[in-house]
Amino acid sequence: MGNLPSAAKHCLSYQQLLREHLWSGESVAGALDPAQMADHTEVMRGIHQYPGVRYPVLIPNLQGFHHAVAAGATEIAVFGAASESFIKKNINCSIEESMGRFEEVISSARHMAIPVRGYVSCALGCPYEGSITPQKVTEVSKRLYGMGCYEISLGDTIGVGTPGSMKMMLESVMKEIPPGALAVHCHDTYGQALANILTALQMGVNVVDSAVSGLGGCPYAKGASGNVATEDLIYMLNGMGLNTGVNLCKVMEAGDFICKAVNKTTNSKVAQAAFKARLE
Amino acid sequence: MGNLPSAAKHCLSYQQLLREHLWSGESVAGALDPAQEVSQLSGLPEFVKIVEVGPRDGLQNEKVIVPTDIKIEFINQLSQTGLSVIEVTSFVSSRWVPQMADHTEVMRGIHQYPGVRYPVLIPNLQGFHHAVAAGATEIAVFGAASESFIKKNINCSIEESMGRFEEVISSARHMAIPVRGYVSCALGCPYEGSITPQKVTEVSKRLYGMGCYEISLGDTIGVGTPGSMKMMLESVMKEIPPGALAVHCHDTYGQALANILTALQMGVNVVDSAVSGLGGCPYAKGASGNVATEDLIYMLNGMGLNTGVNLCKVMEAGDFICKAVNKTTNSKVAQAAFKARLE
Repeated sequence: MGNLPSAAKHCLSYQQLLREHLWSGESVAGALDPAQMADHTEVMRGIHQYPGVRYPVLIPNLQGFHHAVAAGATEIAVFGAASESFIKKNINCSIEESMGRFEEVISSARHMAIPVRGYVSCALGCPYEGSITPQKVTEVSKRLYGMGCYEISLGDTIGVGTPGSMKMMLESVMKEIPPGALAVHCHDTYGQALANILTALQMGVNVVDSAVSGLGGCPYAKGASGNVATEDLIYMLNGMGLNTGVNLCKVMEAGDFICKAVNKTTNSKVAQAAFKARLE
Repeated sequence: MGNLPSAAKHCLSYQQLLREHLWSGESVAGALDPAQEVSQLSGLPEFVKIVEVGPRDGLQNEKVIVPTDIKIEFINQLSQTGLSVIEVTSFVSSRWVPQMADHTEVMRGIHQYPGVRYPVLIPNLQGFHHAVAAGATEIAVFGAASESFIKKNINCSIEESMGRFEEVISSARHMAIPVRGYVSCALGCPYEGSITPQKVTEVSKRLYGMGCYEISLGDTIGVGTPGSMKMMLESVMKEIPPGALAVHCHDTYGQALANILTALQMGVNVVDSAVSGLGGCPYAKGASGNVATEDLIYMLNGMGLNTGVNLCKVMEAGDFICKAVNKTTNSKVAQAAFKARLE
């Protein structure tokens, strides 16, 4: 619509546009996302733990829990799934058996007053089984919540969800778990993440998972994208007048850092638009 | 979350997932049966009309100038997907938009399928006459809610542009040719920054009053969010009924589908998009532009909304044009589907 190359050079730089359109908020560091899992202990011990920031770690079993605590972890997460096939392929047991493992971990964590977050993968679809019923998601979520997880993060693991399936799933889960104890973890493999997150927000969910630069592809579709980009999420939330406390520009700087380090282009459209403008 | 490479090889192919998760629909325009499991989100329209702007807005903003026969084949393929409106070309001077220089040949060369409409963009009366001579039976004019944008684009003020549109619309109405009105910069301008909803309403109302049957509100640089979309539509809908509105969202900041969802929730049921998300943003070199038709259809299907469009056929047309312009698709649905096919 109206394409004059010479005109483009006279237009506002995107930096200027960003300043106008983005409410940067306060600069508070967000959760750290370790780049490699093998060096978990070194990373946990190496980071500076800023006041007011929490640093949860993922735990598969009791042994992992003890290592994490020894390394200084003060918050943990366990990951379940709403699909038998997915759990079997992932940790080689059934959903029921996985619950046994989580029970051990959560019980030990609670004894040490360590908060536990519960993930439920495949909440909107499974790479092995296809459709997943909202009832199954509710059943697994309810069990984790009942064991003592303070929050349940519902994951669209392969990004196949849409506002339609997100609404159906949340309606079911919210019959058993209050919205304040729920989070959504949307993958952007089909470009649906922000629309799905918007739907969740409209239904009362106010915790959203995301990854700076949209790091992490989809292991089930080589080359396809994975996590929703934190920058794009913040841009949307800012535009809706919702407080996050996060400074978008600083997040973009961190994104630029990690993309250079892993030698890949950012998956964040906000970052792409901003950096392309900077080149002009 | 749970990443075992060996496990990935045993998973359902994406083709299978697509069959389960995507309601491809019939390959004809008109109503089709939505998937039964999905409950209708309240307050949403039953049918969404997709206006495919890939051949015009998409190709116009691509660096490569696509040969005429490729454009014709592309449009012919799109005509068989169930799309009911396909914007063919733009009758602007080739000095300004060389990508559209073959507008007459393309208009004459395409096969006009029954049940499909083929609007063309018109800058002035001269362009209108050329378009009609070439066989056009529907046209569109493009205004803007920003003085600076209109000035840079067609070298006149908003008021002067209205004079030109008046001439074109009047002539078109005499010939019973429907006219669609575009309003660019509806959620922000690359020159002025913020644009007030009141300005968008003022320009839209004038075009609607002149006789445009539909006003397409364009987030030209993709800076809009559900917040600004809502504010703008609330203002415009005080003067123009939702049924006469469309949204044309660019995905430069990744906000397009969320913005479109917001518009649908407010009663808008016409959405512009471009196959493969063709056409970058001329104001941010390398950044993306149009929202991809494939990703839009995927969302609408998942919400149980009828479009009459066959997603798989659209993806085939997208694959065709991407190969022709030698670029990767901007559609995430297409990326996910084709990557799976390679495995």
